[in-house]
Amino acid sequence: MATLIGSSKSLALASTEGNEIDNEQSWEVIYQDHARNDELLQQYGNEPMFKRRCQHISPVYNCHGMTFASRRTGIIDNSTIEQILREDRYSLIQGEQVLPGDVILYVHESGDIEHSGIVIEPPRPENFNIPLILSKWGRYLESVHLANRCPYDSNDIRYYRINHGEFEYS
Amino acid sequence: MANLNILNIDALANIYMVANTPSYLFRHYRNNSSVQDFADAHSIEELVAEIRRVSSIELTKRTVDDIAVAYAAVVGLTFKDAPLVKAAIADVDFSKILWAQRILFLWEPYPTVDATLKLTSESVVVMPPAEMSVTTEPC
Repeated sequence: MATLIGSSKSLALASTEGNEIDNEQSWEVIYQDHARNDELLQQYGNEPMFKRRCQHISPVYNCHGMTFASRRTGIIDNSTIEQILREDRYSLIQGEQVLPGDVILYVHESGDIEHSGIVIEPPRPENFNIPLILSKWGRYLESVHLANRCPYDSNDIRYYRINHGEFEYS
Repeated sequence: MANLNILNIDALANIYMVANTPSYLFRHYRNNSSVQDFADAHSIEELVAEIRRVSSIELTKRTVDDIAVAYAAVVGLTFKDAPLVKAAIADVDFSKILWAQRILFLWEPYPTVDATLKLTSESVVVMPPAEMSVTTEPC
């Protein structure tokens, strides 16, 4: 069981355009983390198609850190997500065009981007026409779940894919 | 001493555990009736005292429930008069409560331009004790 207690710090992280991306690692693992983790697994463990991806919990990165920073760190501000979408050249994708690897964002009615993840399977009859998502739930471990079966507001879900446009061959 | 029985600590701890962002934590704690009841039952000074109490707990002994209480106290302050809160927290060290300052900045009535309150991106640095170790187990 990981028991490292440490600091909060940020990494040198940049967008495709080379601009700094705000980020925050937390290395604090708190007593009861695993007990609370088990409670959550009991709550969601029987949900259709739910799977936990790994045994560990990790506070080092959050959902946005998994989605946009390869699990190296956490990203916690709306403005930073918006910066990444813009500078990494993400385009909005319509639900029926979703493909594995696309990014999913959960947007609260207030405009807050409260969760993100990666599409594993697009909507198909086998998954009730609801995408299957890989995402990180706060301090908890990563899990595979149906897009609308998680502790986040799924009323406004948006899909994005990087589009660098056409390249010219020289 | 704050009356922690007012708080629905289980619910608040679970919110904390799945919160990816300070804004999520702030919003859900603000909407939790036990946090407002907690704020109504305590003065600004009592809420600040609770924040100080949790901050003083040794990190290796702190529990998720402690953190949930601390954030309940922080969010509880956002139900109070903003200028009075600002005065009361002027010398409070929030570095042990990771998102405390960010939550207070999210609070709409809170003065957004304040030279005396700086958002620090690097919080407390605690070197791991020599006896603690990281074990790497296969996933």
